[in-house]
Amino acid sequence: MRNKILFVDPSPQWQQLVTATVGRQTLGIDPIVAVSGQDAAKVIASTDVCAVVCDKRLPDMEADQWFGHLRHLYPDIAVIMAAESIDPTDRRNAAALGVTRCFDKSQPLTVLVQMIREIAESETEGGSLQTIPLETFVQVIEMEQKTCTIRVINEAGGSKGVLFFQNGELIDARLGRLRGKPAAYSIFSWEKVLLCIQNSCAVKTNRINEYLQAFLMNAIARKDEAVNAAMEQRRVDAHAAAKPTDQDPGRLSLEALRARIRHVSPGAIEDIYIDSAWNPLIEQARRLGAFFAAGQLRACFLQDGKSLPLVLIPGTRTAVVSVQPDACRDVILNAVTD
Amino acid sequence: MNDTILNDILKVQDVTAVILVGGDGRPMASSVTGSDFDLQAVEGGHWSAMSHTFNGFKEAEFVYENHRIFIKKAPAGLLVVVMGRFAPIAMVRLKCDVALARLAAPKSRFKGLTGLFRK
Repeated sequence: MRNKILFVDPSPQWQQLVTATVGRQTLGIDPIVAVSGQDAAKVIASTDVCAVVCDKRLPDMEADQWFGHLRHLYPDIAVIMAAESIDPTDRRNAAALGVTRCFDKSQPLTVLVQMIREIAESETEGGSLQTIPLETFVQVIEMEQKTCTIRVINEAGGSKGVLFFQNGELIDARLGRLRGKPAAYSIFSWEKVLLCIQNSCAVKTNRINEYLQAFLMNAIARKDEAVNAAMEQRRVDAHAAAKPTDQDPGRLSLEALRARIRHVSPGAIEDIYIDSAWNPLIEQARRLGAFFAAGQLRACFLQDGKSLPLVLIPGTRTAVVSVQPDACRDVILNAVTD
Repeated sequence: MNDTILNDILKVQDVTAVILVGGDGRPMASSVTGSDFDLQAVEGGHWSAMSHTFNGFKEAEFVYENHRIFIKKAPAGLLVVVMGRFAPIAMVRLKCDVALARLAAPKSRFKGLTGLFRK
């Protein structure tokens, strides 16, 4: 997956210049532009970026407000402050706000390109792993008491989450704007992942507050539940796909039939389904009714003495209700023909 | 004899026709009241196809807009009862059970003489 970099600058000339230069010179990085702080906040909330290059002056936001916002919500994203001129005081202030680098716009653009390259490379400075399960790898981090940032890329869909470790302890996670345990549980639910290791961690506050082993047990249990739920959903979907859809202008829907029968005779229904195999019998019953000017066929009750009694409700496709042998047929027939 | 047995069912309130259909699909006996339907069609109806379709069921009941038809497997064919929507269906079923038991009972009274005459 290609990295993206966000340029926040109100000047169209600067936007054109940097996007053209970065697009040409930094392989594997796609530039995105935003003209204001609000605009940039929207972009960054919906797109994974590896760095933000932001002008010191924005039309709608103070620099400290914007950088504070970034540091608070996206601590793993590197921030480069760009300005027409930068003095040592600006650098100190910027560092205090969590800005990673400063770029003086009077410098050649190659300097900025180099900064971006270094930031992009630092995301994988500790290496990339594709074959090791995430649960196993985080236990290695715990054993080695590593301080690092792990970027986890879900191979199914390409979404990116971040795990923050201080001295081997998982202290925080980020997935989009989600932070802490909810983000971590989501990241640990992914099946196949690519891990990128950065040998530093910008986050200091612990939002997980749980021993890694205990957290992993919970995460694995949740993952199993999610897998089981997904399998169950697939089974239900397959079952539904195998059955014809229950849209028949000639009769009530299966759910309506079920509700009616349940209302008058709870527990009577064994199964309810569509089965067009009964259509020939229904046709015979219609002919029989025609002999006696009986009117429109509303329902049939069949009992062979071996299997469960059946109530058939005619339509384009026949609805079949198998009922318990002791169910009161008159009550059920009245319910479905009223 | 069969007509008498069927008439007993016909006496039940709102029952309009009782037909005993043989295994070959031909009506063996019938008792009909009223003229809501075409008697000729009933007598000459395609009972063969009906018998074939309902073969394998002990009982079937069909609810129509105006009528209800109850079919019960007989020893050699089907017993068909046509009734209005408000007929006491439990009573009809009971009468049918009695009627079928009577139809199945051995006819021993004239058996010896008949056999004698045939010889």
